[in-house]
Amino acid sequence: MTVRPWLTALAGLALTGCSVAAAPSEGSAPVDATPSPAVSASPAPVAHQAASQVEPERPRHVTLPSGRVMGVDVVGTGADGALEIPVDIRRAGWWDGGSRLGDPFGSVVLAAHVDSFTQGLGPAVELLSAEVGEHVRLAAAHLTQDYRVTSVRLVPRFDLRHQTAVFSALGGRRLALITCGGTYDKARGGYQDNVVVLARPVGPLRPTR
Amino acid sequence: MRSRFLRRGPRATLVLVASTAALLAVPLSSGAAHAAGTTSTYVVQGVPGAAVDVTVDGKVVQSGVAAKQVLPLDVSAGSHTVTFSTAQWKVSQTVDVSGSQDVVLHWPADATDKPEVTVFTNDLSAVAAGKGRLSVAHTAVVPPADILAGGKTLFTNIANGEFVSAVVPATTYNVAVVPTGGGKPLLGPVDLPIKAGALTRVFAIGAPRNGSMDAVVQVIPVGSTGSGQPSLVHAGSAGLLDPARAAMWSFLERFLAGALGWWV
Repeated sequence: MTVRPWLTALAGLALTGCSVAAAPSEGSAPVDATPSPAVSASPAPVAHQAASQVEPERPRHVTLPSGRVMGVDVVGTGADGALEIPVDIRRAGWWDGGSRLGDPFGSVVLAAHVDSFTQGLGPAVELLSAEVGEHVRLAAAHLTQDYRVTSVRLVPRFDLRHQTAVFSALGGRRLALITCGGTYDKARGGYQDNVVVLARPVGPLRPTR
Repeated sequence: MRSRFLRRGPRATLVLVASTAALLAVPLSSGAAHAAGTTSTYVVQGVPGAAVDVTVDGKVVQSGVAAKQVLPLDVSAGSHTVTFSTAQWKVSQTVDVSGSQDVVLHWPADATDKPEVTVFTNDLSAVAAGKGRLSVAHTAVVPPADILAGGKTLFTNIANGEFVSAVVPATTYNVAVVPTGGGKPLLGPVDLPIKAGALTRVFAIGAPRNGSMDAVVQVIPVGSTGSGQPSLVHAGSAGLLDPARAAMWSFLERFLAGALGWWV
């Protein structure tokens, strides 16, 4: 496909009597005042990403302050507006509209059931007694980030939607871990509160081992 | 040595806000009769002060193209020869056209007598709702640079001919290009709006030496992915945190375990 421009170029060079025509192996032909329609052209370089480029990823594991590791599934928001958390209480759900590991801004949102009728209490129960300063780790396929707990709060479940610290894509990198807690009122839909643990990154993103 | 070179340049304050707004208003398709694109390739004139004739496969696309102009190329996929020329120089390169690309004419990091051409591939993959993808390309006569956004270092150490990108919330960022390792801004700070559901490409062009540092900003829509913000998170169902229920559960659990043990 580059043969034809080459031939044209060589022909052009021959016509202008340019002595460089004897060395056709040269990468770029000299630019001449002759308005030749096709000068010999080499492929334009394709730009590389800078070495500092981060490829964000969805988290695959979360390590709770106790060291207990939960698998993480991708979850969305249902038609009823509720986050579709994994039924298995041993797994957490990562909200697919939130930030990923490696995104420069915003909240990575994880939620897990605190209990279920079939499985009893789940690992997320420890979030109720989490303390500021404790560590949480998120691991994706290639990226790992450590976080330090900055707040543990009980939020009335109908107020959760207004918590920009929890859901907003704006602001610094952070992690929001959500489960249920507070009063259980079966007639009013079960747990009346959400337990929200917010954590900030400690140290840089590093490769997952 | 690097910082000395940078300090030599006049510290031109650039009114990028205005130029950005103007560029956003430039219609991507300057010719009315562009076929619905199988590819979306654009030529970006990134050489300040030059009026450049652009030809593709020997055919004139446009003459006297001013810096910061962006021309859509109505070409089929495959190899094409793109030529940029002025009275002083002529640069001709083949470009393997596929997908969405920007064919950028720009000066290399160390100014020579002739600009060069670099092809940037556009990532049009979908972004989460309310976010946009920002891609910054270094096509200026400056050493490697960092990009600051809202006082935070967003990208580091981008060399001429390189780019870096991130998905960021759609809002307006106060952006500056600074030399890697510190120093006065090479460009900005300026306000850069990032549109949701779009790829915003920023090409830093020109040279601080003659005050021609500037930016070309172009926007291409991309798809949206991910779900909207939940209004509720039901993260428990059994009420086992309630002391009475927990006791009941514990009893049931023991009972069931016992029954199972007996059964097995």
